[in-house]
Amino acid sequence: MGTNKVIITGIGAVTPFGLGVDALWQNTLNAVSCSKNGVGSIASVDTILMTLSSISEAMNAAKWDSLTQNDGLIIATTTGLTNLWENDLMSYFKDNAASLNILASFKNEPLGTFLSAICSALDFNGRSLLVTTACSASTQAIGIAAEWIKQKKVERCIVVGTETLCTLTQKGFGCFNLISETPCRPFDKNRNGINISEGSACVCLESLDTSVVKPLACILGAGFSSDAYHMTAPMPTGQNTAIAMHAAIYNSGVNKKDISWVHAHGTGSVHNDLAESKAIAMVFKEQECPPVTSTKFVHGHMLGASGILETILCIKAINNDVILPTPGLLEPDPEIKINHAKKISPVRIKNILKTTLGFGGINAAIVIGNVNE
Amino acid sequence: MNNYIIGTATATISDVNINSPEFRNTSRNMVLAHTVLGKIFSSHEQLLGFLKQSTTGVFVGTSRGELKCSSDFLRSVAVDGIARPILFQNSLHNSILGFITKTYGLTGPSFTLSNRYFSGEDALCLACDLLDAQLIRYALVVGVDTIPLGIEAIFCSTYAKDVKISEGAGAVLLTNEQNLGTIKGYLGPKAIIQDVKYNRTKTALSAMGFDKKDYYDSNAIQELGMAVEANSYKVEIKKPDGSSSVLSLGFGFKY
Repeated sequence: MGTNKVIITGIGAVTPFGLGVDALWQNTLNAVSCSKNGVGSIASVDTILMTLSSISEAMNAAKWDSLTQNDGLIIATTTGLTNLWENDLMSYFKDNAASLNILASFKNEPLGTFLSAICSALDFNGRSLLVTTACSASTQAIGIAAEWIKQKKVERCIVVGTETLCTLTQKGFGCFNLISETPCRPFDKNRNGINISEGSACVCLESLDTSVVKPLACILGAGFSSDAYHMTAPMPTGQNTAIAMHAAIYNSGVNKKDISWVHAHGTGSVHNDLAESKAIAMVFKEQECPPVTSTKFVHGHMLGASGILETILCIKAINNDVILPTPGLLEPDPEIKINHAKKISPVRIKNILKTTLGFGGINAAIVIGNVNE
Repeated sequence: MNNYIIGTATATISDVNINSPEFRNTSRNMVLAHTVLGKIFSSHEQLLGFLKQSTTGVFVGTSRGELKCSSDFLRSVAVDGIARPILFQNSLHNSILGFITKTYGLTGPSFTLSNRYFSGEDALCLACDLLDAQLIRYALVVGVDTIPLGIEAIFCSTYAKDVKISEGAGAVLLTNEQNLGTIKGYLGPKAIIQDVKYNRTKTALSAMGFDKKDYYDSNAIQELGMAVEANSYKVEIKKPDGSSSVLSLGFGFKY
């Protein structure tokens, strides 16, 4: 493995709370939910502009003027530009005739079109990738980018996750009875589903050699695994999810006792929260479990973008010396035996374990480090 | 790079019995990916058991993913007013990966990549990256794409008029130098993947000079496998928009 230290020098976000990381952070501190009737939406959303906006905020923070051939760009998403063509396709099915609309809008169907559009807008011709491994996509993307930098395959890397609400996902999660009409309640005894949301989140990764600003945090390691269990449900024992968490900690070179906080996927679905909490308990079984938090009550589940969005909250927590609680958690599920973070606590954070689980049994975890520790 | 190719396979839809009970509630992509991996595993009776360990990565490159399932889901919503869970479950690009890891019991790191004409190359390069990083010891790389039945005309409209679109799957099994010894009881090296070069263009949709029959977007893995079996040192994979990739192979290794 490479030894280059990978640091985060810029962050950017567009969320239902508005433009910018500050809007997200303030609403997270105040435990305000963006969800209305189970979804967190953005008025007049434009997927490409939203993505470019979060990239722009992150690049400005990192003081990157432009990208060069030696840089990298990774997009994480599950549905890409689906919102641009699905309505025309449904009209085509209803009217049973190919309209000019569908022929025009369907050019946006390949996910590669989204990647090309972003590369083109940034006039970028270097190494690029679109990761679409369900809800673990953006956590995987951070891990991949960190490896690229460690191995000096790229000098710097933009990692951006974007998800736009569409009929496919709204009706899809709806037909699984997975969407809670009220703000979700991760790890709660009475949790009844997830809130899906849209937005974009971006981090700029680079090494100390290239950075011109003070690092916000660092990515110490990543771990990945597959459940090989079910197309949509997580493995109930959590054992393969624990493999990804173990691998992330091992690859980061951090001692488990130096994990100050676990920022969990914690979707608020019955099965996710149970399986994930068993995995966390398994990882920390020989010692006291660090505080565990899910913040999805606030920003909802941004699917393929969730890993980066929540990494940004982890970075803000490190920089503000606080551990966030799990909003919406009123009565902890007695079957979930983890150490819930109950209130905003002033803590000097050393390292954070950030976890995600996705459809298809895809698990990903990263360890985010405090550069001052 | 310089990782070893130790297994190759290709599959077409004519290779499989899509109506077999084991493929109930699946898609053509899933069946093709399952079949092409099955061909790799069949090269040694204990190979699958060996590769189930968590140090084997699985990389799926697919341009259009589960478009057929997505369109069937949307048709059901639009025409019947019914959202069908099984169609949604199969509708994300990642469903192919979920299916093959589940059916073969593969528990290692797994990824779905999509980048239009370069979907296969991206999957191959990421596999090599993680082998180089020693985050995995073996990599199964699959490139798979199919034509979504029911919306063929709309689908084909996204390609230049003269491109003959087809469907298929290719797979390769890779390892790095450090782990070649541990798998040699099952398979030996066939070639070394030395380099993948991307020649991107900004050409608009045009089939000028593109004469590849049976083309599908993620065909690079299939082309790689064919080049390995033919002992070709270099394979150029032309894309319908005038761009291309060049995969360089080595054969002169001692083993």
